[in-house]
Amino acid sequence: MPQYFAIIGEKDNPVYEAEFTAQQGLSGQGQQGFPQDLKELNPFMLHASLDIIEDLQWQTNLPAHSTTSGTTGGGFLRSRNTSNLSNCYFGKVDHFYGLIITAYVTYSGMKFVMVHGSSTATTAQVDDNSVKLFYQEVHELYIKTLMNPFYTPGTPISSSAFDSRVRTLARKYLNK
Amino acid sequence: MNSLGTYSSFVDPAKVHTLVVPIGKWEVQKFKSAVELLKDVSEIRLLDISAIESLLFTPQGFPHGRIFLDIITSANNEALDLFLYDFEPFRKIFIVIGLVNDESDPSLNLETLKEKFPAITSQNLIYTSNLPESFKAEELETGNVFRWNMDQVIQLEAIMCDISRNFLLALDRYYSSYKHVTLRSPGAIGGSTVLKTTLTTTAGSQVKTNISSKSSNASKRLSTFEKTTSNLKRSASLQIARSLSTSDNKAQQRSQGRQLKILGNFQLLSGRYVDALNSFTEAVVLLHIVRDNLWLGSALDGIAICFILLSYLEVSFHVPSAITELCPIHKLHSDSIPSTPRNSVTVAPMLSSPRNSVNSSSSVPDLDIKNVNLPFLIKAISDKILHYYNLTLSQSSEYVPQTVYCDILLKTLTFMTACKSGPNLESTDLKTIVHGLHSELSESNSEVPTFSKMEIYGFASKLFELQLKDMEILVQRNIYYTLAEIYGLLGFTRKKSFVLRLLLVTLVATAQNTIWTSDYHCLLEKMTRLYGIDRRMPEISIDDASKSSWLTFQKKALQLCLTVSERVRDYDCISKFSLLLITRYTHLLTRMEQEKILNTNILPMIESSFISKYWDPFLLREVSLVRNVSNFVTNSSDSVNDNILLKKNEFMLNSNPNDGQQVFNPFRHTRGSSVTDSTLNRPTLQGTFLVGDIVDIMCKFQNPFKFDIQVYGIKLSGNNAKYATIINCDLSENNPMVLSAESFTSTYLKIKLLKPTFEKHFTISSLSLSIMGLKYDDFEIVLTENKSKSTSMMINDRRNLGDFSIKILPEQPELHVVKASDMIENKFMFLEGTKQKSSIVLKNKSLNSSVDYISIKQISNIEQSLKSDYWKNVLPDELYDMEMQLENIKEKALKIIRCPKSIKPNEIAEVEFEIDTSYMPFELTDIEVTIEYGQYLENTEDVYVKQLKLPYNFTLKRSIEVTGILITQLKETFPDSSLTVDWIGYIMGKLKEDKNKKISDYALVMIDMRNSWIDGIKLNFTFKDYCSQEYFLEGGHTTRIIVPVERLDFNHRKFYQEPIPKIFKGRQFIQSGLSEEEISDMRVNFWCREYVINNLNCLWNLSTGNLSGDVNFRQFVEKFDPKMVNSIYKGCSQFDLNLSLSEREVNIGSNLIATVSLNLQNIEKEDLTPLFVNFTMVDSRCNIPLPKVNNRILYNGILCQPLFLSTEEKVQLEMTPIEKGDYEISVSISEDLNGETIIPNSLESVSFKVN
Repeated sequence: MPQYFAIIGEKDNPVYEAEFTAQQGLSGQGQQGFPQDLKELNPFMLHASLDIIEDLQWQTNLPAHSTTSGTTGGGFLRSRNTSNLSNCYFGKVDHFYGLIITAYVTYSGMKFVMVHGSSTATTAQVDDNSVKLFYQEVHELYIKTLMNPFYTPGTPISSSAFDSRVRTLARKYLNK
Repeated sequence: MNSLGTYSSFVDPAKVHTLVVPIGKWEVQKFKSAVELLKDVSEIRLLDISAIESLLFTPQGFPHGRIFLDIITSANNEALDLFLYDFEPFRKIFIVIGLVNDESDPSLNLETLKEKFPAITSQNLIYTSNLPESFKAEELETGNVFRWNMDQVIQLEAIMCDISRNFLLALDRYYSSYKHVTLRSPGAIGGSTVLKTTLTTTAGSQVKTNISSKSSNASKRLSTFEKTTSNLKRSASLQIARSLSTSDNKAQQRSQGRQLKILGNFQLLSGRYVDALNSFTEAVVLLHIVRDNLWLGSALDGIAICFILLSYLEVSFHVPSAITELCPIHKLHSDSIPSTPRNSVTVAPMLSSPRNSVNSSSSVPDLDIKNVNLPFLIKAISDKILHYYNLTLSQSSEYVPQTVYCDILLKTLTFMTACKSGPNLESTDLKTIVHGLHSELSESNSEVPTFSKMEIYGFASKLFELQLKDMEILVQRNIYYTLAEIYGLLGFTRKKSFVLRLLLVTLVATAQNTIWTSDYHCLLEKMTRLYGIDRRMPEISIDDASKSSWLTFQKKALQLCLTVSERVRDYDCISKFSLLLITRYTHLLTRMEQEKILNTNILPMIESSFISKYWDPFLLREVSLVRNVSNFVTNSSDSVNDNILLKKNEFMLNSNPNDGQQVFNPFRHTRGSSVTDSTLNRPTLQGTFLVGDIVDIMCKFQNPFKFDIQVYGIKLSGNNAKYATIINCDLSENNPMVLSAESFTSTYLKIKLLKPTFEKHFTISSLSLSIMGLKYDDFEIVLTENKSKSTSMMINDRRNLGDFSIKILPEQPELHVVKASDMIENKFMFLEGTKQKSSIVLKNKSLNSSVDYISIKQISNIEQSLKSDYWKNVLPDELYDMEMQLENIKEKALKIIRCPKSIKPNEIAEVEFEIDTSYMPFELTDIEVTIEYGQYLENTEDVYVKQLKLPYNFTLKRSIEVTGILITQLKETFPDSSLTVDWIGYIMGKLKEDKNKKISDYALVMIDMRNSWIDGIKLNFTFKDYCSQEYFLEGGHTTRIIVPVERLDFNHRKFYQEPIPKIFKGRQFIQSGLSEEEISDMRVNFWCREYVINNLNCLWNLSTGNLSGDVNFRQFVEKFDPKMVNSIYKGCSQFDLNLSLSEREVNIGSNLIATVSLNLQNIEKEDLTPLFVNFTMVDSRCNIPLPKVNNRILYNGILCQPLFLSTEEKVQLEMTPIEKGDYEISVSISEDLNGETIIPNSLESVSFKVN
């Protein structure tokens, strides 16, 4: 189950991009990434979903609203967990032909967005808990990067340490 | 209608598709405008249409109704939707209008239309030109041929009414053919060709869950109706069971329901909405019973349309109870009275249709529309339709075609976005819905949209559960277009661009060329704008360049746009996008990609002049001076330095405040900083050149791309071309300069200067280049790139521009040294004291300019080594000496004898000069002669001065030197035997001549002369009128020469009053700190020395005879000591004193009395202070003063005695010599006892002899 993950800055600029492939070497299946056409499409999908994220970002009472509007929207757009308003995890925000897009917005407005692909023809399955944990740990890494005096916020993160740690996290939480 | 796609309107099924075709010779624009006019009158009131015979469709049945014509100009959909005509007959094109602008035969035209569009039921012709004469006027009245003056709208309205009438007649005929047909579903007709709605498995499951959840919700709410209908079904079956079997009954009900549904569709088209509502309602009831879900959905759709159209016409109506039961309705007033006596009067009779129908709704009262939240009702109906359609998916033939499914989704979406005004749809909203208009949601911020963004978005996402790519390209186009518009309305710009991208990808993938129109231009522009590509100007702006953006992503989008524009052949876009790609995304493109863009896009676009400007502003990176090949630089050794200056009249000099530095300005330093600031940006002058010079410059070009760039030409830009021209640039299209890929290329240009700029700078800040066939364009010199915005400069410019500037002066004469006599490499060697004449020959090499102005200056190494304040802290006499020497060096050491006033072009002139080494001190080694010359500028005194510098080296060999000088006073005459000695003879002669003269009036100057040269030298001395004999001095020998000098008399020359002269006037001498006496002493000393030096001459001749010279005593003779001064200058005194001896010749032991007597005539009696007289005794043979106590002369008393001026008095000293010898006695007078303050006096020493 490959994923395409990106951290998007204020002006829709990618600060970090990565593609995680499933079962890297563990079960000997080799890498299983997105097909080529999807690789091309991923950034576009992710970019398009920013609209939805920005819309959700400022809505505090979306769950209440969605119930009033009856069945429309339904369980499709999952908003933040109401039990914890300070939660940055948005859950599934968008989908496109079976690809699910999840998002996480930091307090400074950086958007962590991920396209979850599916390895087979079946729907991409998203385990909210582990994805949420993944985002939170990446957020922690990102804050550490921000503390680096040599890093200018908003510029692409080129640190290989950051990259390898994010990939480790991805293996840990996403592609078990 | 937009050719990009059709924006779905919710009421599309109520519109009559009308095809307009051009007949005759139409221009595209004219035809389009004519079609636009037709569109303006496409809404036709039934009231205006005259009655027809048909009961079903006669306009009088519902005069409120309207016929909406959907005017199209292409019939692409025709074949595709064929299988849908039974199910949704509104997809068929009913009317064809031939727009004729020639005089062709109407009947023939009609035939053609019928041939070409056999399926279309109503053919009409509108003639915009004159009808042919053969055509009868009567036919015009009744038939389907019309005459229309294009500027008359009312006439057109009438025509459209007639056309509508024709349509209604045709519709009646058409419907009659359906009356006895068993209606089949599209899946059953089309078979495998009909695209079945395919929900993606993933989404499908989701939808299913959604639906299940929905339906579970619905079932809870609808439980009553479900029960009712099931009851009804049961009761109905009970009733009918007697006559018909269950299956027959079911089939009959189904076909009846379908018939009613299709009748409803036709009634919608004919504008009879109330009838349509009834038909649909009946159909719904029937179809629901038989669970014919597909047709049921479609019927529900018809009902929703009826609701909207009736609301639009402001006709009050009741929501049929079937609907209220099927769909949960938000009642506005829950306690509203069900049957109101209001407008329902007009509708109620209609409800009871003439046909027998299963009046199932009688038990449930109809709801008045006023009490219903219409938008939510419509939405609920749509949801229900989708629900029923979803149920059909599992069936083999009774399934819903994907087109139909998509249409419902799109229709509902557009409806949802249009609902802005709350529960009661207002007329503006209805208008937008009916006419398919769309405007931004944000425009009406004050209104709370009925449906939230998220709701609409969620609904829209359902489209992506369908496999859209399997559908017909035109349908896809419409879907994506509508979707993009909706996202745009919601403010989801990124989503919009994403959908547009999907659209473009789809379009690119298709092989159908027919759908490509140039209307995609604005779409492409929209894409680039949405993706933030064209807003940025990173080439110029630092702000934009420093901002990071999603480059890879933008690149892909841009590449897609480029591909599309290539397909569309939109050259503007091709050029724009390919340049954007190549400039901003260079580093992301491979060599292959770049070369492809260059060869397939950029080069052809340049050729067809769609690209007119080179795309990279960082092309020219440097222009610098390489080498001065000015023709006035010579290699000859005589002129080491060649320079050019501007000499101007003085007022002109002063006119420039920066140059006015002759006046000391104490504030100059404080001003300095500001001056440097202002000069910082001024171009630095790289050189000064003359007209006609050729300047080599180096130009550096940058090519960041992965392909070679050819430069076809280089020119000087703008005004610069007037002053200079490039001479070695023979670039052309066939011989271009190649800037190889990803590199810097330097080229050398020769610039010939044509016109003088005088004082102004000739600045090259840009070059005009022609690149790969583009027109010449100016490129500024970009030295560096500004990485970040500096705080001082708020200019948002990434380029740090540079320039290159020189001065061009008019053509100038040019002097060369052709020949210099007696000189080997400009070096002279002289015996000191000699003179020599020499000359140099100059030539004006210029062929045009003459030398009008010549000035020769010289400067020696001594002058150069002097500090400017050398005269400070120097005593006046020393200063005089020094400056005298300097002046001599300047004036006499090298003297120009002859110098030409002007030199004509190509003329030779000689400069003669004399070198007098006697004025050269030994420290002098170099003299630099500067010849300044120039040509007067036209009619002015101004001249550009060029300098020709001739440096000379001198080596002086010592010849005659003065090693010492002594002066003694003469006291006794000489015996006659010694008269042969030249100086004795002279003195004695003088004494004889003038009896008043005494021997003591003369002194002897003894000069030690040394011959430092190797050869013997003959010397001749003169002093005033004295001429010595010739002395011969051998090489390396020293001899003492005696020169008699007449002593100076105090009474004649009052030296202490004469100040020491100053050679340079106007200097402010700071007080030297000398006392008055010291000054007067110095003056006396100075003048005595001057007396000797100025009068003493010594000419010498080498014994070999070929050289002669004279001795410059000034540089050898030191300052005189007081004794020498006394010897040559008779002392002065205020007092008339006299010293006398009693005897001049005494024996040992005898007494001798020296008397100093004072003549009191001139003395003021009041002065009572005594003077002291000091006696000094000197051994005159060796000229040594005797000590006060000695054993040679004894004296009585003391040597210092007071002398009172008040009374005439004598002072006497009694002496007794006790040793033989020649002695002198002298007296000095002092004011105190110690004899320190000596008063000058005229007393002369007296000598005596002791035997």
